[in-house]
This record gives sequence, C-alpha cells and structure tokens, in this order.
Amino acid sequence: MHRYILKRIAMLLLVMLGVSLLIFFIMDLAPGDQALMILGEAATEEELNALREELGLFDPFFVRYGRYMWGFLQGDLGYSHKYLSDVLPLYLERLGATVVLALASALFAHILSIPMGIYAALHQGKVSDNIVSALAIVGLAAPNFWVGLLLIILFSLKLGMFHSGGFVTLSDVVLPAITVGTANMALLTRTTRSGMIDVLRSDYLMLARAKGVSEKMVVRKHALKNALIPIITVSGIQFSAMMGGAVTTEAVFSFPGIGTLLVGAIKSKDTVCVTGCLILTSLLVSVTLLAVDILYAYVDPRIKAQYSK
Amino acid sequence: MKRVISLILALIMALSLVACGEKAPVDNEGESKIKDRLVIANGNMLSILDTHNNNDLWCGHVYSLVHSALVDIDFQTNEMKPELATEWSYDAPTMTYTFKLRDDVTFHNGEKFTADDVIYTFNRGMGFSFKQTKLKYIESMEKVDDTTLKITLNSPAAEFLESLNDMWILNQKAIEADAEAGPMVGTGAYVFSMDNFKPDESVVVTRNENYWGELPKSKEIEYKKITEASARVIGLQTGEIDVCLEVPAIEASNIADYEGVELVQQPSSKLLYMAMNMGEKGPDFFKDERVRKALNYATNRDDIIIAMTEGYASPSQGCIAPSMFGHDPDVATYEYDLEKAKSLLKEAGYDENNKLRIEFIYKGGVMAGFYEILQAQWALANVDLVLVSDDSTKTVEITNSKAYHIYQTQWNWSTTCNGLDSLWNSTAGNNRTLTNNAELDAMLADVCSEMDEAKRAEKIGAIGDWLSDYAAMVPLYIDTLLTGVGSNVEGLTLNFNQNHVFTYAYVTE
Amino acid sequence: MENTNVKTNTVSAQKKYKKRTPMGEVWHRLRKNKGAMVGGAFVLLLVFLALFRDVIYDYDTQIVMQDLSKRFIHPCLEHPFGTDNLGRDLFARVVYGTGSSLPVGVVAVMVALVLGLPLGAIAGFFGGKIDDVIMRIMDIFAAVPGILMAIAMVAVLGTGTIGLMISIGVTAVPAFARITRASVLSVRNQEFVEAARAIGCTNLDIIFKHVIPNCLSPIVVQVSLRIGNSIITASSMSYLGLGVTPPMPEWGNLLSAGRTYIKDYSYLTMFPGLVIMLTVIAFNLLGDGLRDAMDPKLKK
Repeated sequence: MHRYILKRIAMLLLVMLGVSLLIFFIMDLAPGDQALMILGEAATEEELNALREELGLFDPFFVRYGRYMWGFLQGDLGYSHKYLSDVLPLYLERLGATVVLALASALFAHILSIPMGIYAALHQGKVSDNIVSALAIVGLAAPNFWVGLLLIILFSLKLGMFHSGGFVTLSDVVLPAITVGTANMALLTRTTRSGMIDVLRSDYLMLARAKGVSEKMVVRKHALKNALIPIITVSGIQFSAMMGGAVTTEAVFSFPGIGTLLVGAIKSKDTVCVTGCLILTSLLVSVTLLAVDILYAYVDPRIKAQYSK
Repeated sequence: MKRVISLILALIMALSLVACGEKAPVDNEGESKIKDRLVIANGNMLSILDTHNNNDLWCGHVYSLVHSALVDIDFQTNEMKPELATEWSYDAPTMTYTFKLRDDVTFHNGEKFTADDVIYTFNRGMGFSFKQTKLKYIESMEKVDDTTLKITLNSPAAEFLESLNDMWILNQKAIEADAEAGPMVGTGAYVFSMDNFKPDESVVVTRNENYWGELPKSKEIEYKKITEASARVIGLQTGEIDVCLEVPAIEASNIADYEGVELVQQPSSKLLYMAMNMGEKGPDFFKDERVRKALNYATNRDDIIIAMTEGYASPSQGCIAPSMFGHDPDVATYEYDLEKAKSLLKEAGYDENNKLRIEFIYKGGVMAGFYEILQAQWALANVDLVLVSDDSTKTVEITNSKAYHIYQTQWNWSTTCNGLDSLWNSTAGNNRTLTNNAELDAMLADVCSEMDEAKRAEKIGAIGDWLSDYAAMVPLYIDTLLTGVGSNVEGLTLNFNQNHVFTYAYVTE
Repeated sequence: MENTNVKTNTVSAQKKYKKRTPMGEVWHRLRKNKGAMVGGAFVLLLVFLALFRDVIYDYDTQIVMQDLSKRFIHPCLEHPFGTDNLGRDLFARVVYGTGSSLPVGVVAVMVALVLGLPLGAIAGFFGGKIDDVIMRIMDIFAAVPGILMAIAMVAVLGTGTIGLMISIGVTAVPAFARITRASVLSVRNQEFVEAARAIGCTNLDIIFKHVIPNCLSPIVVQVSLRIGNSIITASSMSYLGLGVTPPMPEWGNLLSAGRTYIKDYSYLTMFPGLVIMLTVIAFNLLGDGLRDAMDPKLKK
C-alpha cells in the first residue's frame, strides 16, 4: 500500500512537471505581447523593448521556462501583471471561494442524487425510474450559464432570497452551487442507480434476504455501503474537476473563483499567472484523485489486497 | 472511516472559511443612519493605476475619488471651482498663470503638498501621449514659494484652465517608492490601497480622515465590475448595489417600474463613432475620399439607434457632440443613402463582384452586437465587414500596432477645443483615425489659442465642416445616459460627460 | 474478422430462422429500445438539417437580413420561436445554427477519436514502457481542467469554428485514450489475437484489423455521449465570447446573445437553450441504447 502511494506521488510530480511545460508552451505559442499588456496601448517601441529586456522575454523558450521553474521550486511563483499581485496569495484567495463552491455544489448534488438513484434502483423499469433518469439527464443537458441566469431571475429578482452575484456572505454560494450541482447530478444519480442494481442482485444480498433481513435493512445496511465505491469515484472526479473553477458559472454570478481568474489571465497573456495557477490546480486535482483512490482501499478490502500484492 | 471523512470535510470547510472570512461586510451601528459603504457597479472598472497613461473614463471615476487637481469644473454650471489652487490669475501679455496653492494639504503617504508636486506631475505627464495634448502649452513652470506657482504658456490656450481639471496631482516620493501603486497616492477624499484592489473584480477606497475639504459621509466606496448587464441591474433592484452605471437600454423600463430604485436619464456628450485608419500603416482604400464618404452614406444611423439603444439616443450631427460649445447645427452631415454609397464605391472600384473587405475592431462591452448590425448594413453597399477583435486585450495590441482598418469607440466631450485636439491632432493619444494632416493641425492650433469666444465658435464651426468633408470618422449617435440609482442614495452628482462625482454620495439606511 | 465470422456461422447453423450479422444483431436490440430510437431519430433530423441548411434557407436574406420593423415578435405561427432584437426569425436561425453546432460537436469528438484511439490502443497493446509514457502524457492533458485547456488552445488557434473544434477535441483525447486502452487490455490476450500473430500479422495489422474492431462498443458509446458534451462546451465558449462569431448563428451564441433580453423576452434564450438540451438528451439516449445493444451482458 505504501509503495503504491509513493509510486503515485512520484507520478504526480512527473505529471505536474509535464503540465508546467505544456502550459508554458501553449502560452508561448499564443499571440499577444506581455510587455504591451503591461504598458498599455500608447507604449512606444523603445519602452516595449526595454520592458521585454527586463522581463527576459528575448531569451529562448527553455531558458525562460527553466528560470520560471527554478523560481517555482524555491517557492517564488512570480508576479501577475494582470492582477498586480504575487501569484501565490492571489491563487490562495481565489481557492477559498472555489473550494467553498465545490463543497456546496457537491453537497447539493449528493443530497438529491443519491436518494434519487436509490429510489430509481428500487423501482427499476417502472415509470418513476424513467422520470428520475429523465430529470437527471435534463440537469446534465442544460447549459450552465442558462440555468444560472434563470436562477438569478427566480431566486434573486422575483423572490429576493439571494444576492445576484459576488461572494460576500456564505449564502452567496447557494445559487452558483445549485447551478454547478445540477450539471453534476446526472452522472451521480446514474452511478448510484446502476451501482445499487448491481449490488441488489448480488448473491450475498439474496442470502441476507433469505435469512429474513427486511428489505429496508438490506438497502440501508448492506447495499448502500457496497454501492459506495463507484459513487466515490464519480464524486472524486467531479470534485477534482471543480478545483479548476467553474468558468461559466463564475462568469454569470461574478463569483471570484479560480475559473475567472484563469480566463482573465489567459486572455491577457499573463503566462506566469496561468502557469503557476494551473500547476497548483493540477496538483490539487491529482491529490484529490489520489485521496479518492486511497479512500477506496479503506472502503473496499478487495482493492487494498490488490495494492498490497 | 466516517470520522476520517468528516474530519477532512471539516478541515476543508474551516480553511475555506478562513480564506473568505475577511470578506464579511463591515457593520457599524454607531453614528447616524448613513451606511458605511456606497457600492457602485459598472461593466468595467479601474484597470490602470497610472493616471497619466490613459484617458479612460472608468479609471477616472476612481482617480477623482483618490486625487485632487488644481482646479475643478462644476459640469452642472460649467463654472471653474478652486481645488488645490485657491485662486489664480492670468496675465495675457506674458501668457502666465499664477496659482495660489493650499497650504493645508498632505498626500495619503504623509508628504506635504507643495508647488513642487505640481511641477513634478506636469513634467511627468508631458511624457505621455494621453496628457501631452493638454500640457503641451506649458513653456515653463516656476515655483515662487511652496504655495505660489507660475506657469508660462508658449501660446494662448483657450481651455488651458479647464483641461487641468483631470490633471491629478501626484507625489514624486510615492512614485519613486512604488512605481506601480505610487500614482494612486493622492490628496483626495478617499485613500486607495493595493490590499483593497482586486483587478477585474472590485476596488474599495476608504475615507481620508485628513482630507483638506469637507469630509464625505460614506466611509468606503466600492467600485465593482459586474460584466453581465442584467445581473448588474438585478443587483441594483435587490439593493446590493447603490449606483448602477451603464444601464442597458432594454432594462430601462425594468428599473423605472421597480420600487426603491430610480432611473436617471440624461442627454450626454458621449459620441459613438468609427474611426478609419488614415495612418501610414492603414489600408490604402481609406486614402480614397470616395470610399470614406461612401461608408458614411452606407450607415443607417436611425436603425443603429433603435437596435443598439432602443431609441435612447439622438443621431449625431457631424463629428462634434451637438451640446458642445461652438457646434454648428448646420454642419454638413451624411444622411443614409445606399445608392450614393454604392455608386461612390463603384467609382472607387468596388462592386458586388469585387467587394471591399474591411477589418473591424472594438473593445467589447456596451457595443457588443453592433458589429452584426453594421455588417448587415454595409453588406448592402458591397462592403464585407470582418470582425477581427471584440476583446479589449487584443484590441490594445492592434491599436498599438497602428495597423487596423476601422475602430469603433467613443468620446465623452467635456470641452470642445480639447476634444477636437485629442481626437484629431497628429500627436494625440486618442487620435484613432491616426490623421496626420498639417492643414488640420494648424487649424487646431489656431482654434485652441483663440481667446475670443465668438471667433472661437466660428473657427470650431469651420473645423466641423472640414471634418465632415474629410469623412475619416463615421459619427454614429449621442447616447442618452441611463443610470440606475437606489432611492436612498443622496449627494450623487451625475454629469453629462460621465465624469460623475461620487465623492459626496452616501446611502441612508 | 475471421473469428467473428466463424462465430456467426455457428450461430446461424444452430438457429437458422435468425440469420443476422453482428451489426444486425445490435440494430435488432437497439430497435427495441424506445428511448434510443427517439434519440436516434432526433439526431438524424439534426444531421439532415445540418447538411441541407443552405437548401432550406438562404443565408443572406433569411438568416442575417435585419428588419427592424419586426423586432421582438413573440412566438406565433409565422415565427414559431419569435424574432430577435434585429427582427430576424429565431426559428430559422436555430435551424440554420444546427449546421454550426452539430459539426463543432461531431468534429471535436472526431479529433479526440483520431488522436485518442491509436494512442490508447498502442498503450494497451504493447504495455510496459510505451504504455507508461503514453498514459503519463495523457495524464498531463487530463490534469488541466477541460474548459481552461480549451480556452488556452483557442488563444493559440484563434477563435472561430476550426479553432473551437480542435480545442474542444484535444481536451477529450485522454478520455478516449483511457477507454480504448482499457478495452484493448481486455482483448489483447484472447485467442484470436494469438491466432493472428501466429499467421504472421504485423503488430499494426493486429491492432487495427483485429484488436480495435473487437473493442469498438465502449468507444462508440463514448462518442455518442461526448458529442452532446462537446456541444455544451462549445456553447459555453460562445458565451465567453470565444466561440463562433455572430452573425453566423450557433446555438451557443444565440443563447448568449439572448441573455441581454432574458427578463422581457425570455423566449430568445428559452428556445436555443431547449434545443441544446434536447440534442444532448438525444445523444445520451442514443449512447445508452447503443451500450445496452452492443454489450448484452450489461443489460439486466
């Protein structure tokens, strides 16, 4: 088990190195002049060249990349010219909002979709099963920003229950969380349903039933726990995906998450900010996925046994 | 197992709460019933900290909170008011202004304000193309003592005093200490701090308790960027926002009908126009006068007004905003005439088989959708309009390269001569047509130094005619300003040129 | 293909009254699935509209021509989806927009498929170092959140249909590589592969002629599900101003343009939104149906 985790961490570092190189390269290919973005449209060629010299933009790609990574490894993530701040504090501040949104949307999605999935599994093939599946798909199929705008109109303007945007109090996260959660619900519901169906048909539950355990207890005590594994996988993937922010939802709600931060930085060719934030994001994504894998091992002894081999 | 999960969740939750805890709103029940914070929302916000490096209106809103200038214009009455200068005199024969400065002013960094600061600021400003237009008249500056300053001009300048109203006084030590945020150290009623500045999100300025003038009632003013216009209006309606700038016309009736908010409608001097690139790197086809005139004829301004503003605008009359001093109501204009446009283009060599391809750029924001309308209109005249950039970042790049075809933008007229000089002088930073015409430059220099009002009006009229004939600009329309204001907001001054004064605005509970 | 033929032959020998090819078998099972049939029919309709949009409508006069006397007409018989702020018929624009949105979704997935399938197959077939290298590279691409990756790619490739297709496609490559790899792993040790090797087929031959055809079913399902997904991503990109440029209608930019008017003229966002939703649902139903039809073991 430990060897497995160590191997995974080594891989993770390798992947992050790859991410940094990839992003740095893409940002380098993208048209746009960093010096011009800093100095503004009235800048003259001499001023621009002086700044380019100062920023080291004339150096070859690998020299710039090497210099950046050297700083990164020493904990210096550089300075964002777009947001006029060091990248690390900027990232951490936005991360707070993003994590809150990720948690809240996960909460919303799980509260609805797990009961719905169980219900559908227990009523498999009936009309109610189809209705649940249909509902879940609708959530997946509706474009995020559209759902967001409709929610603002209903809950903010008509009912006056929530703020229309920003992130000042914790309640501001409710509408964005519903928006993101709606999209994530479909897969969760579906996973719960199929997981439950698999388990409900398994031999050991047949045995439990044969022994006279009530159907309620079968579902609660035995089935759900065993159906958890695929649900954890899906939750883990969805949660880790949220670490990169929810770009469109953030845009609709003026929510200060990582998504909008990165979009702004990409558009103004703030290579330092984009690379730094994406390395940290991919670190978080990978760590979350690793945590999920480790979590499995605890939930399911079979998997643990596999790793230990 | 469950405990482990819940522990992890609790930890993450706690961390995230710490991360966003500082955002809690400031509560203070003491004092009177005035809210601590006034919230202004706009589609754009402060983006550049150097006051000299732009003429951006939205940046100006924050600059005017943080800074003071020598003099101020009351745009409601068009009168000059003292600000850092208590009094001034002009000696015509020597072309010298003498300013008496306040003695009781300190900058936010604690430095005392003296004549040296003014000299430093003006000298620094001359290095920037945006401010050079206004400062080029200065021949020399002389500090008589800390509170007396003499400025000698190199030629008479009709609007010199007026143009100083947004020449905010900076502090040399602050800029030397911090090149980036230094230009935001001012003498104004509110203090700027990098900690409260979140680019692309919001900026909060806090009251300067040592302000030399009357202390404002709001402790803080927040200037927020909410890109989505409908969300901005909803924010106003729900009371999260006190002042909503740039209300989209389609929302006007929503605000007017809503309780607790008011719609302020006012005619403005904001001229929306398109600039054809007449510069060296511009396309050759604009050098042909027939093409320029054809495009003016091919533009159906009435339709554009309906589609873009729901009718909240008035058609342009020439290249100068009609409300401005010296504007001639009889100036030559181009009425929509498709046939004329087509035949002019045909003469120039363009027809349905050989369409004229023009690249279009603009900065995005309020004019989103305009490209679509114009493209359809010009297509009828065999012009193929292609969108190259509708994104402010990319547009900056293209404008810097000076190699664009046609650029859509706007100008808020404050004073006529300065406006003309800023838009048309060959050296001006806002000269988007990149016109470099000796005859025009001479006319501009002449009108700017004309001290006699009647003669000045006449000369302005002549330039207006010249510009109409030159046709490098397609003037579109004059916006009607729509601003949403909470009914509990007091002390707000909204000006026709969008140089709003927020300093003394406050919200009652 | 030899092996599969043998199988069918035995089947037909036993049950002479049911003579079906493997594809026929899939089709037979798919036909019984109502959801999949409805979804499939809708997809076919969209394909038809996308192919013949220029036959149905004239771009210059019916799609982009503005008529300000007809602004904001609510849905009625003449204009089933109403008209927009420039007096253009929304129904026509939505129908015409099929030809922009569907290709973006389809081509993006094709891009992902063309890159992801061989990579995954090679990784799965050869295993060892090759597998490690390919899958780590895939991990790198997968570690960057999809839409951010697409935005960065669009910055490089430029906005517009082509850039959009490639950008969205590239973000889906890791998913296809992983799925292909997994199913290749499950078949590479089966007898027919060994048989092919025994008769002297090259590795490439084995991969493309024997292995891939035998693990197509999860890939086909993934393609169907991903197309819907890509259409949503494309519309999000349009919302952020990085997608198909107006006046060319695309569902995403129609939805995005309508948002200004969402309070007073909600139909301008309602219809494009619904069409996107229906399309994604249709592809999902079809994908689910295909999964059930192609892999009867899964169907319970």
